[in-house]
Amino acid sequence: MGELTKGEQKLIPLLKSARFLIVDPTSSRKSLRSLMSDFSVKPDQIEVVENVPDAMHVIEGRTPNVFFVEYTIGSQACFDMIRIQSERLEPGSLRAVFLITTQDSNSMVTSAATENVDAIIVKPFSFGMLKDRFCEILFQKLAPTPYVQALDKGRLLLKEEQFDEALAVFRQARTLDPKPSLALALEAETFQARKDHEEALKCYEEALKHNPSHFRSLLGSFDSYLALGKNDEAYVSARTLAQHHTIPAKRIPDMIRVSINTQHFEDLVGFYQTAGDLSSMDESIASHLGAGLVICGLHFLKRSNKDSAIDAFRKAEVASKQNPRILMRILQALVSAGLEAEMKSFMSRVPEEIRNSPDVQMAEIELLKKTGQNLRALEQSLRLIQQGIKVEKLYEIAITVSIELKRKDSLIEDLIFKAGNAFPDKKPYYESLHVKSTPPT
Amino acid sequence: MNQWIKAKDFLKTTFEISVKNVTTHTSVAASTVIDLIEVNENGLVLKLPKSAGALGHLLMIRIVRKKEQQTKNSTDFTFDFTGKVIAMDALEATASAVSLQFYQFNENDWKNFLKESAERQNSVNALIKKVQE
Repeated sequence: MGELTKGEQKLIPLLKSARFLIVDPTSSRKSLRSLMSDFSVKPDQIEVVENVPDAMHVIEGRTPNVFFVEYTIGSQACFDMIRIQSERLEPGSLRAVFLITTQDSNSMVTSAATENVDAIIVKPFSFGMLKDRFCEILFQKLAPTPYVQALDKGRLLLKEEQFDEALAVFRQARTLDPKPSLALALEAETFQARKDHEEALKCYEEALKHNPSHFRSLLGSFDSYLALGKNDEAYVSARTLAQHHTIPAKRIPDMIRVSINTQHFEDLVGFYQTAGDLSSMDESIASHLGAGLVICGLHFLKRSNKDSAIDAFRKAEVASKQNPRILMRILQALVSAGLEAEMKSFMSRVPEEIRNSPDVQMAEIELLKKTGQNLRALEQSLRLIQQGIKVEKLYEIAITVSIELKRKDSLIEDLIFKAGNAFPDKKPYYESLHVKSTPPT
Repeated sequence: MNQWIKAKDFLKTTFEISVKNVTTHTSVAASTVIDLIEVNENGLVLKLPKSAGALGHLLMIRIVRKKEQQTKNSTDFTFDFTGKVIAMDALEATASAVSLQFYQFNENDWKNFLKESAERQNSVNALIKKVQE
């Protein structure tokens, strides 16, 4: 046994009945086993696994109280396992989560902290650092202060949807700490669970008086303002949050959305510039940023600010790494606005497989029709129909353009026949197109 | 301007480790297997390919600590040392946790490295507390 201080030795009896899980696909298990051994944890209390399926199997069976997980296993898998562990453990039982990682970015740490990770062990660690952090967290869990005890009790009641009881406990907890921002934030979350956002906001406001940059209260008030449809107020809360903290990665799409709702389009441009300085960015964030910039471009188009719109679309294209969905949205916007030259330039940049996709070709046909190039629109429509592409709008364009170009009735009837076969429920509509356009005799 | 994201929020530390076995005069190919696990006053533990060496071998190691995602004022830190393999524990089919005791090293550089590791841990602890308090 390694040397333990008298204080550390107090943990030994408390850990006697705890279950431990080490999810270690790489390398830390030796140090963690030594640590467990120092605290007289028996080998049959510890499970060591190397992958997510095995870890899930353990969590769903003998749910561990103390969970060590290497971040290399994947952030989403880590956070999912932590959530399941929390849900499956009996109320009031010991629960501690240690995330082991070389990554130490503020973004990762903030995300982990909001996912109920108790501690992050940064590699390379010294055994002393590992032990200190382990003891600190376990002591907090096993010998909590009266304030923490009250908050834990309230959290449990909140989880069980005993809202009145939870509120009473959180209110009592307020008296146990000179700066009870967390108690107030949890009280607010209880109101949020009851969909009483006005009351929740009062509690958050009170919490922010004690600590104007309180993370949970700023994020919580942002959510409540959004729920009440008060976008401007939500924006102010989010801005204060971003000023003092790192926004957790999974909440960034909400920030993009609120920027759009409040027409702070310059935020997206700023976001894009910062993202451009980073060598990598989470794919879902990049995709949200791309979508946001498209909306930004659409807004500029509405205001007839063509240059800014094109600039926003270009940024969206880059930010989303030419995500096909984003490219389609841009294309549709260019088509709707009748910007033919811009569309041609855009088309020259998109990958061939996207350029040749039926959706993009449809958009091209719509633009041709919109800009009066009926013959080319017809040629391309007929080519797609011949290729067996079945799109309602495609037949509609082929029929109407054929009529406008005064093609032979037999050819138009043939098109209507084909359209009716492809979309039987639309047959009357296709037929009506020809009837309507036939001049009265 | 107050941005939703700041480049510094994505700043992360990475380690590039190159290994040469002085006893066998062979270089260990750069690989994703190589990982820096644990540090102590007189040495460290690395995850290395099993073929990297055996007990008693001397390894010459270079560790370059980088701050990724930082485009300007990058502050790389290099630590070179020779260490003796004092323990090897199998981790998986192809890798071992190799404990090295320093044989030749710059004590001040190592102290700085340990200090910086402790600071990284402390700043992570502080950030978690700030979010959860």
